[in-house]
Amino acid sequence: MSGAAEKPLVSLEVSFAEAPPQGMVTPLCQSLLELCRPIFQDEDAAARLRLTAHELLENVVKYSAETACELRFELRSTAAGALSALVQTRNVPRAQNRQDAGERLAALTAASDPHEHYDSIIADSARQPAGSGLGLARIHAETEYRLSHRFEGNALLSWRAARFG
Amino acid sequence: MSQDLDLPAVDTAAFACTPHFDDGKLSVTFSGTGDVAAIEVLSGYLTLVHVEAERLNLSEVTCDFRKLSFMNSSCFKAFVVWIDTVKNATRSYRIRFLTDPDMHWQRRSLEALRRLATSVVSVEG
Repeated sequence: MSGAAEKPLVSLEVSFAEAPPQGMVTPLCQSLLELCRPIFQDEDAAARLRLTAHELLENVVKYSAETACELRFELRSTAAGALSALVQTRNVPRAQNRQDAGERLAALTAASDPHEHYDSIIADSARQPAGSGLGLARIHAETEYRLSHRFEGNALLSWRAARFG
Repeated sequence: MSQDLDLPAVDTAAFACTPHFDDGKLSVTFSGTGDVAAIEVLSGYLTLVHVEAERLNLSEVTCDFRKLSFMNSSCFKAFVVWIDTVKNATRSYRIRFLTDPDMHWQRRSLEALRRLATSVVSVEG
């Protein structure tokens, strides 16, 4: 139908009424990897997707208040024949983590050199007990997924998009 | 003082650390998935590795990642802490990572560890 949006090649939405259990992250991300692997036909691209989804979900598990959260993933084919992937999470950070989450995401987005920023975060993390932002910096430096985020009331909506090919 | 290795293997449902000590050389094979369930095990294990490396006056510890399918950032941080400790020790030793070229995340993540301490860390594979 002219003008109708094409359906994604792969689409996955998972929602939890409460903060999700830690034990679900690995099997969920492994399943996502297996769903997308045949379409990517590129183990490296599939590995970067797995890393991105895993780090984002673990952050949701670690830092969410006891409220609903969502994960959405889409893999689409572009008009130019490339692949476009989107990983999106929606959660309510705990009040004590909200400001930190916003600051870390803003710093990542503003960093002119992702690898330099990553190296700095790594060095700092050696002396921090927790919450160093290493997972987000790792996504930013080790994958092509570029992040965006906004707060909608108390909820943090963040998404990472990448193109392949 | 005993020159035998005092470092047991650790094997959970999805993650394992297996030491090999031969001819004065220590190698630890990490296998499975390094996710949130593995963090405490790994952190404690790397502390023990460091204690043994110092006690036995080792010049190098090899970390074999070829059977490690994935490692999250918290497990990655455990290695960061260990490497930082070694880098700042009075007498440091080298840490050598063996990787599987088909596991692409290993090359990228371990290169970042290498940049943390280029005089300590090397990556092969």
